Formats: sequence, structure tokens, C-alpha cells
Amino acid sequence: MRKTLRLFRGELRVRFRGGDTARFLNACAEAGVELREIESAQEGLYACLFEEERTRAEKIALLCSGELETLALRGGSRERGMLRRRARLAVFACLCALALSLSSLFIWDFEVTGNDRLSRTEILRALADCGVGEGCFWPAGDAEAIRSKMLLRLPELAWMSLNVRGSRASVVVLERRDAPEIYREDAPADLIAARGGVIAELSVENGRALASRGQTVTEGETLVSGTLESLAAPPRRVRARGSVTADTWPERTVVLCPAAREKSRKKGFRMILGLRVGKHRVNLLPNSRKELDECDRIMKEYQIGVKGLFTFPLRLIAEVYRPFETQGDYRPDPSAFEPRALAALGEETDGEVLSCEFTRGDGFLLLRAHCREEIALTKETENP
Amino acid sequence: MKTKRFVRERLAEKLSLPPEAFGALLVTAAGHGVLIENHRGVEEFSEDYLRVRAQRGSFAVRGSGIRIRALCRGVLALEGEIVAMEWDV
Repeated sequence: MRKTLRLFRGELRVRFRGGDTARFLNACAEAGVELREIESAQEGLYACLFEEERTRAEKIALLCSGELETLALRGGSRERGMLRRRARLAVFACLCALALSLSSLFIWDFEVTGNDRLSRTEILRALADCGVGEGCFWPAGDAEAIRSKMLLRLPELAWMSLNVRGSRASVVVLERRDAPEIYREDAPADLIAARGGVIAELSVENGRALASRGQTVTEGETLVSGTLESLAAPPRRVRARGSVTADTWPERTVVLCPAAREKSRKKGFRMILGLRVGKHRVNLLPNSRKELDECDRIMKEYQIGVKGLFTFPLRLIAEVYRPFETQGDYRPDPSAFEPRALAALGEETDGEVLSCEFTRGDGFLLLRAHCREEIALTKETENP
Repeated sequence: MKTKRFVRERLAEKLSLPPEAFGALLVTAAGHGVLIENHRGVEEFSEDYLRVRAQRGSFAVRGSGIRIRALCRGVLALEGEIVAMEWDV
């Protein structure tokens, strides 16, 4: 800082010769001329002083029967003169500084953290509805009021914080956790069949079995009842518990696209550059608005600014158009979908797939499987 | 002049203040740098010798490559290879 100030004031390197050096030093000190970096040499004395003190130092040198010779000048009037000559550059620098300070009053970039169920887009849309969008004037904003509005607008949020630094808004959210379902272990319940099939194994821990091994059951049929009847007392309701494993034969059909055209990429690409100033887009190249058919469009946006410090209301947009062509009739191969269909069935089944059989047709794939799985499903019943 | 000095010394003694507070030479040396306060002007200056006037007598610094970093009224900061500091009272 001190060095910068010296440069701004202008620093002279001078040589005093021909007189009494000690007298010159004392006279300068008495007159308030600040001398620095004083070095003694055969031919006199070298020193640094501020440009504005040159005249006084020259007079003192004359009084001391010597002369003061300027060797070099750093900063000061010379630099200021250069700036004057480059008035346009100075004006541009001032305008840039002004634009930077003005742009920091507006929000141009959002950072959302802490969201899991809610997407960034949903949060930003809700913020925009509350008046905090891209390009909004932040000094007029009230973070507390916006937070209250956001919590009312998005019930999934438990807490939210909005911090604005420069032109970057940092949104930190904490999502609400759903209250766990209260589960009563003693609530009366039956075990019913989740799927139809032939019972392979049945074990009852509590309740009365209504089905037996080898019996065919349909979906929704009661397998173990929670009602225990007694000859001496009215029926007692309990929670049925047990395990029922059955052989099932599920079917899954995959419908395939009957015909399609095959896409192949052509050589070459075209790039369109643009600038997004605030909410407006400016294309940098001519013919940028020309429609391009049969092209894949890959668009990338680059924010201009210093990450984490400030953001300019400028985004560089690069659009790459890659041409492609379609040819022939493409018919999908049904066998390519077999592993995926089997994997999907395995995920749905609460057991194991014993065997499977595929039927390939025109535009469809049929999967028939033999599974052994747990089919018991607890269904709570009301007390009479 | 003597009366003035006498008054200064008596005042410093009465007020329990160091004599430097009333214009005596104060020298601080650290490493290659020396700070001299309350001097009364430079008497001699060369690359290997510097002598300043003090309230009583003079103070000299001997060494090599001596240069004055800053010089103001009453304050002088110098640096260089200091070999000796001499008082001449």
C-alpha cells in the first residue's frame, strides 16, 4: 500500500553533488523534505524523494553549494500523464468498476444446497414467485420475509436460509422429515394372498390357517385368519403371523416399437456463440437464428465471474449442432429386451425365479416365469 | 544552554521519566538496522561511517555498506553491516 502511494505521488531518484552532503541532509530534514534510500558515493549522494518536493530540494542543494540531478522518475506525473493520454482507457476502467459495483447489487447466480426431494428448479421457481429471481435488485429484498413465504409455499421445507454475497445468492434448505407411521403390534389382522398361486409351504405363528399346502389360492384370498373362535367365549381377534410360500406363474409383456428409422451421425458440426446479458440473449455470429433441421443440439452455458466471489450478469452460450441422418426401417430385436424383462421381474418378486420362457412376437415380447415367492400380506381388520 | 539542560534533567528526575523523553539521544539497534531518535543533525556520512550530533556530544556508527533508509527531523533510520557504535560525550 505504501509502495502504491509512493508510486501515485511520484518518486524521484536524485544525485546531489558538489557540496557538503551532511549540510544538505540536515537542511532537507529541517525543511521537512523527506529523503529515503540515501547512499553515499564518491561523486556525491544518491537519494529518493517525492516528486512534489523536487523544487524545494533543488533550492536547498543550491544553498548548500551543490546541485541536484534527477536520475529517474517512477509513477507520479508521468503515469498520470499517460493516463490522461489514454482517457478512453481510463473511462473504460471506471465504467468497468462502476458496472462491477452496480452488478453486485443484483442477483445473477443461485447456489442451492441441502435439497434432496425437492429439485433445484422447484426451489428456484418458488423463489422467483417470492420475487427473488435472476436479475432482482437485492438491497430491496427482505430475507426473513422471503424465508417465511418460501416455507409456506413449499411445505416440504423445514428450514431455509438465503444469503446474498455480491451477485451470488446461496440458498441452504433443510427438508422436512415425514413422521414415521405408527405401527400397532397388537392390532388384529389377517394374512391374505398378495398373488394367486399354489401354496408350497405354510407356517402359522399366530392365528388360524384357512389354506393348506398344495391348495390353489387367488389374489386377496385369506390365508391365515386373525379370528380365533371358542366354544366357551366369544371370538377373539389377534394379529395373524406366519409365512406362506407359493408357486406363482407371472407373465410380463414388453411392447416394442414396431418400426423406426435408424439414426446415424454425419461428419462436421456447427457452433453458435451467444451472450446472455441479464435475461436477454445476444448472438455473436451472423445467421445464428437460422433453423437447423436434423441436428442434435448440445447447449452449454458458462457463467462469467470469479467463483464464490462475484458473478457478472453475463453468460457465454455455446451451442453445438451435430447433423445426423435417418435411413432404412429399424426393427428392434425382441431378444435384446429379454435380460431387462427378467431383471425387472426379479425385482418385483419376493422370492426366486425357478424357470422362465420367452415368446417373441411381432412388436412384443412375452415372458412367462415360474417363481417361488412369499405371498402373505398382512391386512389389518377392525375390532367388531 | 546549560540552564536549559539542567532544567530538563531535573524535570525528568522529578517526573520519574527517562531522559530520552526530554531530548536525549535514543538508539535502537536490531540486526542490520539502527534507529536513531532525537539527533541534532548529520555531521558526517559515508559508506562506512555515520556520525550524528546529539544533545551531548556525538554518536557514530562504523561498518560497511551503510545507507540511510529514511531521514526526517530528529529521526534517522540506517542499515548496513554495523561493526561498532561509538559515543563521544
